[in-house]
Amino acid sequence: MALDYDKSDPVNLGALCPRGHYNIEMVNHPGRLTEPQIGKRKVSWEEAVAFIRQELKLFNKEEIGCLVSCLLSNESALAAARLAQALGIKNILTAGAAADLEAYEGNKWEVPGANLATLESLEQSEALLVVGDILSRAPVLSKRLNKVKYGKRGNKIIVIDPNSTHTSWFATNHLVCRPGTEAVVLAALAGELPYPAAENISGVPAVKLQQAAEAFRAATAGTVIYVPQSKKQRSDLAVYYAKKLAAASDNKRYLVYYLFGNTLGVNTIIDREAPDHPTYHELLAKIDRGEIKSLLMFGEDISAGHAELQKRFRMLKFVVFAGHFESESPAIYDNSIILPLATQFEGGGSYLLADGMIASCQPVVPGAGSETLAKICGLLAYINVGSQDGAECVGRGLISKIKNEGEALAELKTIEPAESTPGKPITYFGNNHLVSNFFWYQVNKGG
Amino acid sequence: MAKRIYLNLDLCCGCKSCAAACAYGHHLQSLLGHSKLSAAELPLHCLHCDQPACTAACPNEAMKKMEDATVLRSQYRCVGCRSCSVACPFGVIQPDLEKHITPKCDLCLDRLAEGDIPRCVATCTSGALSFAEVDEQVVDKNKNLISVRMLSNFVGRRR
Repeated sequence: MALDYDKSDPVNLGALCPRGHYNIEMVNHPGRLTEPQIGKRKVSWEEAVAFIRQELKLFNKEEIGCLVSCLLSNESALAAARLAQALGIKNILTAGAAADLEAYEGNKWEVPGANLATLESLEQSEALLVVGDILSRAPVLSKRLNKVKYGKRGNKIIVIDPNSTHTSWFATNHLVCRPGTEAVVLAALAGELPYPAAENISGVPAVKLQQAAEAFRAATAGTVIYVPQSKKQRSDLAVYYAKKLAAASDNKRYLVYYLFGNTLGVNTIIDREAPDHPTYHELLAKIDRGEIKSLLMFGEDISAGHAELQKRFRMLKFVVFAGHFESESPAIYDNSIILPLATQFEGGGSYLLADGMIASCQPVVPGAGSETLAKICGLLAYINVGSQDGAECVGRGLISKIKNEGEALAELKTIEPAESTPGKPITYFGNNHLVSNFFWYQVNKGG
Repeated sequence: MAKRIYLNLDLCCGCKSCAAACAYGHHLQSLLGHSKLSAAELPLHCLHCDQPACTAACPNEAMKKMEDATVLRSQYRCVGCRSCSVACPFGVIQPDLEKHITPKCDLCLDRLAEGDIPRCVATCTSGALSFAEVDEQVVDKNKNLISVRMLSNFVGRRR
């Protein structure tokens, strides 16, 4: 296998980020799982499927829970939902990053006139409003960011972030707010909150807020990019006000850049197929009360490396999940079964991207064990596609109560900034060999 | 005139995909130096100097200036004394202390032979890296090596 660069690709223009490069290692990795395991014992596919069927018969339908990973393709998510329907399981829900799920809740509130941004509109926009660090999430967008910054004189890149990040290097206006108050700044920019009130909560000077708001309003085309991050920043409210900002005029658009690729698609499908599914915290409470005794995870083990979830999951009697490598989990769940997971190069499917377009992927290499997989599609055909941990979900309450504008404003006033840690000034080129040879460094540092 | 790799600091977003691409071309060992601070992850490319200090410092003639004006390191002659990394005025040659090797950029000779550009330039997500002749760079003032970003750091405030 080899990597090459396709300059004609519309999304990445022939550039791969490090994650894309290193993904290819997974395919032929010597430590990769190729056979199912029960506990620590390696078994054949037939035995594994027979074991799962036999174990699932021991439980009622209400005692089985299903977690669908946010990295599944649309087809796999649909199949998982249909499988749950066929088995009569009602405890089915998606598992992803907590911030992603929270942002999706905000995405559900309808704002008339708010349009999703596309790649073309991103390039043509004259003002970008970025919340969070988009460049460490998606370095591939940096070419388009540079096009906005250097394309025309007067173009603005406004970044809202408490930290100085890779993205804030590119900013023309960097609004340094207190941690957790991004939603307040967005509301002020959208004109929903007076500037002095926003200054009190977020700590951004009212003058800077006004400058940024006027610059964004004056631009002929603009895009709001929101990046959900795992801080206490109320992603749902932030997405709501990002939509408000985009709805103010026809040429403004918005984009929510989820951490897990197919969060939008999987959530939409599960909401449609199983409308009355429980929330994440209701499911965890059911596990605590002992109402759920076995768990099917369509995707990777979400409790990997998460001690609190592992403690809860140890109360379960039977767990099914998939993985690329041998994890510590089989030692924890004696009665669990772990199935080998296909990499992104092996599993094809269609994905709903952040800009609302559907992209279909073809498998690049023949999958490990794909022939044996075909035999078990009666019960577990789609368990072979992957996920990351959605483990941080535990610490956060996902609030989806808000339905109208007045409630959103009332919620906004309750936001308290998280404790800000006094940051030390970042010296970008400090003790570098290269820099220490420049004359100005010697002048500045005295030697 | 030979072509060299140039970095535009104004465009670079520090994603390190150049290092990843380099590692894939060279047996999973990146030959790129990086500025070694937590915040800045800018690549430091070998400049392939006209009068290289590393070749003068090498006791075993492992570093050599070739006929096509590239400076290459012979891994069989190298004894791992790290004299070259001390001698290099740009801090580009950074020894790997765990693996006991001294990686050194070879401009992706295998790709150059096929008329292609080096891997790091091909994969650069932001378009900051360019593979061009020295004269072009001097003419194009937008791509000066000491850029606005660096000067603004000198003044003590960001743009």
